[in-house]
Amino acid sequence: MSLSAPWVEQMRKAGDAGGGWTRLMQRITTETLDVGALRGRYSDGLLSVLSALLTKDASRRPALRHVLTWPVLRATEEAATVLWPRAAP
Amino acid sequence: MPHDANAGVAAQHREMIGEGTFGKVYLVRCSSTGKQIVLKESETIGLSTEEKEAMLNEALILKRLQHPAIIAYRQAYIRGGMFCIEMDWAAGGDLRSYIRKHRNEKRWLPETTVARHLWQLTSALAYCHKQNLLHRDLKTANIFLDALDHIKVRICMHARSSAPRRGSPALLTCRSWETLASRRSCLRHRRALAAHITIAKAPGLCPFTHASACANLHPPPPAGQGHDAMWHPALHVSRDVRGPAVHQRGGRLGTRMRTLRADEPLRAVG
Repeated sequence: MSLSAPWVEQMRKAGDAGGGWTRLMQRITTETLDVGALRGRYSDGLLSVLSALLTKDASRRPALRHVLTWPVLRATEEAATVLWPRAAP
Repeated sequence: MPHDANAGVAAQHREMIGEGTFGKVYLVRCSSTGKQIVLKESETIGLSTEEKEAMLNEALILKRLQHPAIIAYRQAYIRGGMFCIEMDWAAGGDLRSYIRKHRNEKRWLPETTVARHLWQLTSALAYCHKQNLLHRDLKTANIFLDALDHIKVRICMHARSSAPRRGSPALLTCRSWETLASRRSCLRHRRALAAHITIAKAPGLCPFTHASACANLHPPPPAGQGHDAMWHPALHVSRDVRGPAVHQRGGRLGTRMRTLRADEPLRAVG
């Protein structure tokens, strides 16, 4: 499963018994998202954040507070702190 | 029912921007400041006094949430039979339209933009979770952008708390306690009911919103009444949950937990 075609295709099959939102949700819950299509567009750091947030095993999924400390988002945090003095959760 | 006929913003210009079963949403320009705000109106006709107070108190809890990436609730009141909530206006539209626009134009979002939005969204959600508030309706249509392209998450009135447990502070549900009481078979709703009323009785004064105080204020549940039972340390309610009983219990919590007087303007908080 990737971020592009399969998602759209599933939605187009709304009239089919095996398609539509039900099938799409099944794929989301049972399959792993392939972020390979995004390589070249976004950095590995950002893709690793995306993959981690989509981890199906909740015990391995990072807490939001932990995500905020990841290097790829650090620069954003520093910029945000200037804009939002109260932004730190 | 306490209300304030003069409450609310003095509108210079009023434009309807949304309508649904909940009521109508207007974009209002304040005549005094010139600032645009969103005014959401819902009819209160047919609602009981407790329901109206519950609606107001829920809005007051939302008002206490202050984070730069969360749409700020300014005030809530009842005026002319309408329950009104004023909140900040996000001029940049919602994230769904933003993504759709880029997709139609076949433009990729820059990584800096994705990272910034992700950080702001994560920051807002982490803040909510720290307040023991679950969004429950997180989607791009509920995430907005302001004029400077910063994320503004809309906290819906049906956001609700995580289950009450030791040290759990502000607990929230949009459903009135009557609705919840009618669904007493649902343990989760019963938990939310008790916790909701606890906080509703003490807007801005609840000691349980301070995590450091929770350890001392929240004793462990009695034997046999663990987290699966209808037990809340602030209420000491029994399994048989009834609204008035809970209200009476809530009134015994001392000076730090107060009950709104019948003639008290509900908008005068914060």
